[in-house]
Amino acid sequence: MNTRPSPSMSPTPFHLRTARLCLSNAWVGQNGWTKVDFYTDVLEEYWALRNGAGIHDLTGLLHYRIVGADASSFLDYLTTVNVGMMPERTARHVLWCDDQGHVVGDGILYRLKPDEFRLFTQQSSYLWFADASVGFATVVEDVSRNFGGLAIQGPDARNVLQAVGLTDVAAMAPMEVVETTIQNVPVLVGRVSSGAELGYELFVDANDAPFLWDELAHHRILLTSPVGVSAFHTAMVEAGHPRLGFDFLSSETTIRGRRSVTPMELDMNHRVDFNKPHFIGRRALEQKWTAPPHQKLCGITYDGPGAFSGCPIRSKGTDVGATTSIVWSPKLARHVGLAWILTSAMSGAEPLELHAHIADELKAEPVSVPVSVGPRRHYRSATFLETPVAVA
Amino acid sequence: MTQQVDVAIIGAGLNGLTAAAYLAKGGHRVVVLERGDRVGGAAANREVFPGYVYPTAGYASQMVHASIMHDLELGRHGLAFVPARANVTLSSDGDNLATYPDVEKTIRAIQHLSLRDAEAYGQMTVKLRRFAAFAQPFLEAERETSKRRAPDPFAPFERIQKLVDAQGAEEMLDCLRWSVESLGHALDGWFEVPALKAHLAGRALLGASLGPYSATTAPLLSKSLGFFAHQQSGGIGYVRGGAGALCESLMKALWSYGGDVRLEAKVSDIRLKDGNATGVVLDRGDEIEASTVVSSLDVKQTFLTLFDLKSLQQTFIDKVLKVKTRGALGKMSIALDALPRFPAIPPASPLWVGDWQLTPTLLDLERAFDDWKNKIAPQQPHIVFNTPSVFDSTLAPPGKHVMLVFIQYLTDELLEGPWDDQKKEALCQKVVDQIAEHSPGFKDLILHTELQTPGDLEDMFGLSGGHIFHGEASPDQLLTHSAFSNVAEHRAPIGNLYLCGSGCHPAGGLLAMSGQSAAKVIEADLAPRRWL
Repeated sequence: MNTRPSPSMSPTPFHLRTARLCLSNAWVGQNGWTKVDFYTDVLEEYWALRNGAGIHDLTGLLHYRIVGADASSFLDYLTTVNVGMMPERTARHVLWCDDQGHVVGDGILYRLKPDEFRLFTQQSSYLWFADASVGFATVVEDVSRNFGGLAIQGPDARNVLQAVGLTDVAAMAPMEVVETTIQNVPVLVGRVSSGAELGYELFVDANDAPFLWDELAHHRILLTSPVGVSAFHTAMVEAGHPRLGFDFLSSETTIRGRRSVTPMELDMNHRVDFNKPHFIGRRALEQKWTAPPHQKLCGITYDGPGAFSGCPIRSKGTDVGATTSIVWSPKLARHVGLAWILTSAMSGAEPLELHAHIADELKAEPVSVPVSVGPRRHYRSATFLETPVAVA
Repeated sequence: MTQQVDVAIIGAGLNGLTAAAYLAKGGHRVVVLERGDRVGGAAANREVFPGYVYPTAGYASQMVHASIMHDLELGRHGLAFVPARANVTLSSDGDNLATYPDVEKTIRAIQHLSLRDAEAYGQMTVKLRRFAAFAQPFLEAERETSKRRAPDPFAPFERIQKLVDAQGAEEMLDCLRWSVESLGHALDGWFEVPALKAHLAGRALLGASLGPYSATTAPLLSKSLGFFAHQQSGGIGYVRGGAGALCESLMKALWSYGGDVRLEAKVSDIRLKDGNATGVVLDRGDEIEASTVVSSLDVKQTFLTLFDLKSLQQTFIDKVLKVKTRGALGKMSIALDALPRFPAIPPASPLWVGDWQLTPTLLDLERAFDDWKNKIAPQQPHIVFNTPSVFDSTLAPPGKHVMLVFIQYLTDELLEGPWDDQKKEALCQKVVDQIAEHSPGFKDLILHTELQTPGDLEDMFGLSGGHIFHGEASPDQLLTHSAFSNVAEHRAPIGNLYLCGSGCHPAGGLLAMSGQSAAKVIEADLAPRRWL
């Protein structure tokens, strides 16, 4: 135990590498780590991710190791998905709810062995896991500080990994996981991509983090570019992935009860499986299952003068929703993003308008722009699902 | 000699001056009557040892509510705050545990002790914010300002019902449970590190005459961490120049609005005519006629010393007598020849701008409380101290320092006889020994010490029982004001008489909000009646 408490933010295991490249000196905090917001230019980094291969420091994600004879049954109890049916060496997006059926958190679950899992989340849920695991023969361990993680996304991502010696990735299907090595250094690789691109996540021991960075970033055969938080986030919004803490709130953190959300409101009914033993929130979810949700997290697009996050959406002058994350999508040449909208207002009969103010020479100018509402996923690249046929 | 004014205010303490300044700003002729030779009351500064300023009862405070700062232009009248940077517990192994106003920063600091507790701290802040939303209707400063003779003590409950409708009964029941729970029990449920529990409880219980495992102590945590809904209060801070400087600035504000303060003017009696207050009598014989009389004293002082008891109803006197005012807080001021050295904290650390504690576990706190309960001198006193001269050069000569030590659970009703110099000396020695354990050479720096027991505070400032909050700020006395529903609205059960002291709505802690709230009620009552 480190006895000297330090309230300062920590550098990531890649800091010495990223800091040298971060000409903008623009940093943002995430869960106690400082990350590069953008290295030189958000647009350049965005296009690297969409057209070549972008490398993003994943530190800031919380990383849990869940092991033990009951690990699988614990996760079945904790989450709403059917973990028991998850094959080894696969990954899944999972949700966990409270007794009222409100979402507490979400994350990506890796199943490495029948009794060993890794879970990655945007917001810490350690206490929730610790409390829920009472009575199960399982250990939940926060290993966030023990590992360094990188995401590599883009049409060239597979080629880069193969070029650095990760031949195993060639045949990996989406959401497949392998434990392999680069030059004898153990690497955990998952074909998981938040930006709707061909993409992988790689995790190594924190001490090996600079090695992993050097292997990927300095490889001379193919061009890779470091990607900061801003460009990575843009790709995520285009892909329509809601972010915990930004687009929806954990019921553990909401002050007003109505701000908690159900999986149905998140349009994630397919993440709830009643064909398994009891899980937290099951009864409440069964009760709420058939009723149409009051509101939904939708995708919206509009042509307008700015990225208006956190602004009201109105129908015939009354508020029917609000935007959460809005970005300018270079690929789609429109503003795209997510918004909470009352289901009653989504019939399409009445046009919806986004209301905002733009600061114009020290005056706030009101603007209203028509928005179109649709599925959350705005974009997905052709390579996202594509897996080359293995050559015998 | 008879003077005529619109409003006579008894006591030039923080809330008295605040109410006076608001009413003077509203165009009323106001006079404040102070028995002492300076303004400030329990918040005044005194120079006991040459060159050193000892801010008296109040020191750390929630910063005065932003609306008061703004309304009374206190910044223009010289008021400046130093925001507190941290709360610290020094442990016996030369380490420290610090929590910060910033929740994220605190979580990172706790992570090094326990990942579990770090996360639990985050959860706790959510719970406290939910509770604040629940308690808001009871503490709401915006009172019904229409002239109602029968205030409705149940009005907050109607708003609670609305919250229940909005949030679900489960959550609200949690909050209800929380409002009567003991702090110790709540902390035991959340945390595993003993020092962290004692750290949070030690600060929260300051000024309360309840132990960590006494019922109804849990809400005190919300208050000490600044989670109650005074969102614009700006958190915990120190007044530059000591709390006395806060009162000076209020007095200047009062003058600027044409109000007046008369010092060494002790009020001996409130004049009544047909059951209505018509003015006050000073002990030197002067009379002041006033259409409105406002008392900033606590309820016991107001009704038991300023009235002919025969003019009050017996049931009312009975209620007044039963208000809990047994104080538990003593204070020691120490003049130091140089900055003391604490190996756990480097000299230029921001942690100096904060309150420090030493008590390691909840059990130690409970034992200290037992001594208070058992009416014996604290054997191992729980102290909360700081060195304000580090960030406020007005308090001591250059290079010299003032240390202020609050001694929690100091009883004034010693079974073995009243406090005398010998007993005080022994207690001072105990406190100094405790600090010296963490600061080598501390004893050699001491030039002067002064100890004030709750009894001393009662004698000096007229605080009943020496209670700095004008009565115990526990939910039974505070939230429902069951005994004093009308006083909670500042209106005494006597016409034209109002209360504005720290014990009134919305309660103390150097916020000056009771004074502001009283002024609003009085202003509404004084406004010419509009006939529809």
